Amino acid sequence: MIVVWATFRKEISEVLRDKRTLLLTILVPMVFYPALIMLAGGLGAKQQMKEQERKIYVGINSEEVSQEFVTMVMDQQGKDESIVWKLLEKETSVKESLQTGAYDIIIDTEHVKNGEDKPYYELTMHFFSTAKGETDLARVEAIFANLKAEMIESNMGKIIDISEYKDYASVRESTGSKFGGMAAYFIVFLAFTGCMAVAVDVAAGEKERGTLEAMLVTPASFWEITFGKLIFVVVMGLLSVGSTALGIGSMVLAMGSAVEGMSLGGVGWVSILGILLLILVTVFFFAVLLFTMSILARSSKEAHMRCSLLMLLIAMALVYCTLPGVASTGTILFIPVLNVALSLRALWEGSMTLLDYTTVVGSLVILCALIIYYVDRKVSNDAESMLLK
Amino acid sequence: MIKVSQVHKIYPSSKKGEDVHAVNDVSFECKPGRVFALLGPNGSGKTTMLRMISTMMQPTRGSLAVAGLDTSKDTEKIRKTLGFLTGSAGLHEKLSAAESLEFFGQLHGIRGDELRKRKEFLIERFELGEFLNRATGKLSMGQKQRVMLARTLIHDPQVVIFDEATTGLDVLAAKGLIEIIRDCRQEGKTVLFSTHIMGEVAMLADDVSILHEGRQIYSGTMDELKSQQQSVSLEDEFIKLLESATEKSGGNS
Repeated sequence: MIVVWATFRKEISEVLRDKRTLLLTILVPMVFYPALIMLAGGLGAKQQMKEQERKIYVGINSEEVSQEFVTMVMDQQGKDESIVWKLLEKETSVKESLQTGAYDIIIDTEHVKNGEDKPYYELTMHFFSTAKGETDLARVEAIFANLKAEMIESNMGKIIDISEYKDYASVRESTGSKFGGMAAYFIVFLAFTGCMAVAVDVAAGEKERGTLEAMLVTPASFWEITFGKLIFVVVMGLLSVGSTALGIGSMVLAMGSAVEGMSLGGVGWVSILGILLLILVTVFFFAVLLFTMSILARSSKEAHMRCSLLMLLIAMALVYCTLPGVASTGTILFIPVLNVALSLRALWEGSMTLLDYTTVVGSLVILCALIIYYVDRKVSNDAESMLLK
Repeated sequence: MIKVSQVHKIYPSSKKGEDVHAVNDVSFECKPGRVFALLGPNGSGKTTMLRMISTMMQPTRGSLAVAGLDTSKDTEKIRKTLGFLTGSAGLHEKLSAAESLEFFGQLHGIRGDELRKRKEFLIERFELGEFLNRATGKLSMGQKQRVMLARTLIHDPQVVIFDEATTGLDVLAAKGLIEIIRDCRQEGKTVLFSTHIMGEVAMLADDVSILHEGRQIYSGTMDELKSQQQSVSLEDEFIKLLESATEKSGGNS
């Protein structure tokens, strides 16, 4: 028992004298993790609220629509100003109106006489079965559900029924928006963890084992050795993404129709090439970032801790990207990880513009160049503390 | 040939305080066909000095030349003529001895037949044959040391530096290394080795420099050191020199 206690005291004494370990294992989790969770929760709630308050335009097909129905629906405008009801002009194409975004939902009504002279409306909902389109549809359905409940309560009987749904989204748009976010989450996260698994070892590990010094005393330059290592990290990152994609792909094929609607149908080769290039650039960015973090660390342990913190941050960022309404626009195009995850989804659903794509890839390439420049400066000015044990 | 002239290495203090003078005004010359011993207790500046000679670090002041080339300008050329082995160096443990030699040969720019012949020579010289294709992580300390020596000499360097290379070795492995140092001298190479073991110096060195807290407290030939010896053994003489230097510098180290 004395030995157990003495050993325990020795470990405690050692760890209390290791300020970096203390900082990373106690202080950072105590402050950083709760802050991160609060930030993610806050952003999520804010995004959800934004989604609920987003203005949506509902068109009512004006052919044969009764004034009574129009009045009843228009009354709803006062209750929820974020849903704008409009009568569709005659001969307006429903599909075109939805595709151009002039309307988010279009409703056809059919007045059915039910024999007791009570009005009875059967509705057809025209919509886009994307993640956004389904959110919009749910909001409109909730309005009609309320109306129906009110009518039943006031003893007017069942007067509204949604009898048909017409979806105008292509398979690509629909699956891209629904599964694209999750797929992007896995791709980006696996690219990161695949790179991390080896980057720490080839940088901090080699420094710790004294093999890096042996390599650096040869005529080979630091950058020749580094690029050899970076290519290896990139290959491992790609293998990690590729093997998982293969695994999930095989599972989907094996399950067949069990994963209903999950299909890459309609994604053209240009988009596939775009996705592959973006994955390659992302993996290279992670390789450069993780290699730099590892080579700057004093030990493998420190490198692991730093990279793990970054991994958590990236996981949170990726969860944020799966929230409805978060899109690859504006400043997000310049924020690494967020821009990649959202672009992958946009490429799948076919909503990415060439300009946005170029911005995302370009900003990642510029970031890589800046990190490489920083390492080069650091090696030139302080090679010994950075590269030697 | 190695020429060190009035070299200083100052590390800026990480906290607020005085800078650290790791090497302070050190000068010496190592000649081809001779073995130069850099002697000093731990923390005396030996490793810093050797890392500057091997172009891994740059001096704060002073000049260093290897084979007539300036270490601050001709880094790549110097590295081609230099073999450097430290006691803290490691092996790529998943690679075999053969793969390790191949890899380091390539880093030194050796290719094809030249590399094959050099490998064959070193495999025979260091008797690596019996474990040539085994992962180096599974070798004994002595076997690992032989692989590291072969790796250091893969490019047949004219200047060889050993930084406390016998640290952690058993008697037999240390003896093997001492033999290699002797062979290098016979081949006309310039050999510089650092140690804090006086016995190794007595066995090998032609010239000696003693460092203490970054300062050079003795420089001369081994014969001169022996002729000036007032103590019973060289070990005692070394300790006496260190004590005398400590007294002069204020006496609190």
